[in-house]
Amino acid sequence: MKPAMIVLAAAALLASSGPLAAQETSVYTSNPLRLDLRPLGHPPLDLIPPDESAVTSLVIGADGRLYGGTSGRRAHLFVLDPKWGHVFPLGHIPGAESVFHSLAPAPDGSIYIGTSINNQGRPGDKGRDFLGRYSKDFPGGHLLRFDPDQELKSRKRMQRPDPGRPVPFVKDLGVAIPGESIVCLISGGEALYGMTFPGGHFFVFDLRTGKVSDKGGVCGSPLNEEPFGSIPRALVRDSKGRVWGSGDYGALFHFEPGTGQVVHHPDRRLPSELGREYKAIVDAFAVGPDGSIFGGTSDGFIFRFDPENLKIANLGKPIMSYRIRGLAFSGDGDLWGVGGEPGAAARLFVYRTATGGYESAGMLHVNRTPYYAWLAYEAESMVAGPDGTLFIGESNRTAHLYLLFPWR
Amino acid sequence: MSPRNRRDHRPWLILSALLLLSGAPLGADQKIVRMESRMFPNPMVWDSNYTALLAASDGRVYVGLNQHGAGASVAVYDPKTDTMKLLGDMNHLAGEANLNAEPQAKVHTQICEGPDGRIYFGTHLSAFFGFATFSKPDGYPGGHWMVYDPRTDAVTDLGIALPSNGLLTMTMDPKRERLYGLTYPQAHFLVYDIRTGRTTDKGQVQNWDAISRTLAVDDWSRVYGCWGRGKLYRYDPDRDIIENLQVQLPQREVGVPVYRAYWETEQTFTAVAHSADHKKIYFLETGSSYLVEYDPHKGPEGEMNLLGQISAERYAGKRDVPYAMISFCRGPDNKIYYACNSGLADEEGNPYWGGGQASSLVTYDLSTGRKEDLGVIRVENELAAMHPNSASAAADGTVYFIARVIEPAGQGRSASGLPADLVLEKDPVHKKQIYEGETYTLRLLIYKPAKAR
Repeated sequence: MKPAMIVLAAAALLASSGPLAAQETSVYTSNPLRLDLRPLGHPPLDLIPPDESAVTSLVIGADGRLYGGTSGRRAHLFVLDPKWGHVFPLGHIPGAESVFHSLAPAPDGSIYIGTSINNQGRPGDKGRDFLGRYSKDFPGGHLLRFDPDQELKSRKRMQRPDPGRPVPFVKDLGVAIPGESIVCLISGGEALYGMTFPGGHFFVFDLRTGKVSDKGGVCGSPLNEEPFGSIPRALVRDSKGRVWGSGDYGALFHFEPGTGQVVHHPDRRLPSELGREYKAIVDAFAVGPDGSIFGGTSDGFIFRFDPENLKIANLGKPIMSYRIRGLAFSGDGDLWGVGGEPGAAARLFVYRTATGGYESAGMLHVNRTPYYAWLAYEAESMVAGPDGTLFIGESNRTAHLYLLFPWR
Repeated sequence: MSPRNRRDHRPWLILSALLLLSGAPLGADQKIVRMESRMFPNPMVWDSNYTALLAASDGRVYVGLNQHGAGASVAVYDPKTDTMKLLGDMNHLAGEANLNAEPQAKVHTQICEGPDGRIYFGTHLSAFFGFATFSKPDGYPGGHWMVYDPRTDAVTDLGIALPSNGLLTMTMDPKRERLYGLTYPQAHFLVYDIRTGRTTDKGQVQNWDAISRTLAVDDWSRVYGCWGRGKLYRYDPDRDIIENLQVQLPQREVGVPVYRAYWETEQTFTAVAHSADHKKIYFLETGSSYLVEYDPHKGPEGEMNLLGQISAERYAGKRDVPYAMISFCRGPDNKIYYACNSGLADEEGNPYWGGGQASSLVTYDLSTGRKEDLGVIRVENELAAMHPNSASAAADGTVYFIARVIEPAGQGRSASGLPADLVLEKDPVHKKQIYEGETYTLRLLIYKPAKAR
């Protein structure tokens, strides 16, 4: 064979061969060097245990630290100080099973917590009888205030691990809505805004007076096949202080703080698959660096919402599965997300806002074999840290905190 | 074949020849343990067996037979008549023959006998070609709980255990009439109540790459697996809770394993056996082939006691010990029988489980503490057995193993044709090259300790 032919053949082979075997990991984790994880505590003993560790809430406090809430047999609170880089378990919240999308930071540094019965958003392991737990024996989800400053000042060197300790410096602010779990909580303008399950009430908690104002059910009755009904799993506050969510048939509503009224927008609906419009609910919201609002839906769609002209732009579906369970903006303005259904494998993706295109970022698989390795099948929360690190909370029985370092 | 192609294959032919030359002949001082063997019906079909072997109380022997990419089966061997039969294609039995999805290609679980003599097992997937799509319609429907009734000679499908997941391993608590299963890839711990037919999913217990290959049950009906670095988790049925314990298998630091890839060096127990009264559990640790006695009643978490290392003698005390196989059981003579993976000479330490050129039989007398390497396993016509991966002892003292018997060239299945099982087997080409030219048949090995003495 002539040299030129050999070169040509080699070039053709290279062009046609696709990824090399050594790059096989890229099939399911597109950039393994940009993803890491942390156990929820300090192994082996000071660790939030399995069955209590599903990370179902993440938020950045005014102090720049990451706070997380878990769900399971007991709900726990944890903190990650970026200066340390590891998770410190703060303790369990006595009497609480779940903190689901319900951590809200206040400007004074305190963290507000909303509690719920576990499994309010999906069929329980023991069947679909969880609604039976909403009986007269359940007083309702509590609002709590955690004081991180006090906790840090009084934190003592641990002589022996005590994973059963309760969270200190937590003040119980009472039940938000009697008989209802709190399944979504945000803060802003000296108030907390929340949603409840199963009644789908929207409520406002006045931080100055400590009073709850129940705005009533905004979501209609639950659907048999979708326990969450049309109750949103996320709320968002726009630049004018209005709070937005979705109700029946994925139609938007907003709360007007000035008038104290809930306003429904029945003709402004979330994107959904054809025929599933009645099931569409908002799963996650994220506010971009320029104040623009992006959301993810239960059917797995991403949308951009302009509250000024009430326009919803359907940006399509970045993953095959349903559920966009977490959204957060990277420092350079790209929208990252995590999604996927129970029983499948969670997927990461990024929406490049400058070009308007999606990229798959693979599965939540960290492999530092032989030291540690874990693939997360479900993740329920995502938030951006002050330095641009994205934190993702695994929500399986044995859960971890994932750290994503965005790439372009 | 063109001259160019012949030149391309030459290094591998030479390597294969060297391997055969170095592996097959035995040194003058090499001990040999002889076993009988039986081929299975359709012997060229079955490519592997893991864990699934039971010498049942009626004397019959049940064997899970795998066929990557097609339908698994269970063979029943009757030693009284020296006959063998198959229970049928698992795809047909599961009602999935025409599903055009990942097939029921393995019976990978331990095979368990119920108090009424019925035989329970579970089905599993094989070539896990699409990890990322395992839950999609073209993925895997899920492993089935199955039961065979010897009285009616019928297999009954008890349904899918967990959608999209295979049943990697299983054990039974006959007292409570429950099956306990572990799934792959999601590592969920399942409880199947035989009386009600209900499966309860207790959630994920391990990462996908380190799922316990066996489960143990103590005399209080508590179930044990490993959750990380040889630490046990314990399911307590009275409290309906899985606890991660701190009690840990004795083991060495993670190192370079022999016949096991670094990405698969899970630290766990590979196999389990029980004392006659079920009060103690014997674990075979993976990395060093440590035999560990676990007393679950000592202290709140039980106590581990290292009895010894039961690898083949040539590895004793050395750093490089072949990764432990599942072919491990306790006989009625209170001896542990372990058919272990072994090399013969300075073979290439390939990274694939059971990759040596031979296997040896090691016994450990639990009554006296005496370990004995009985030698390299040979069957009829001096053929070598490799890759032993299940064991079971019958009440009459006969010990059964399943292994690959190396056949003369062209008279068995191709070892290099086995597809990659795991998504992380990054270089299946290398695997094919290592086993190029090697042929085998999967066989039932029969060892009668009394006769051997």
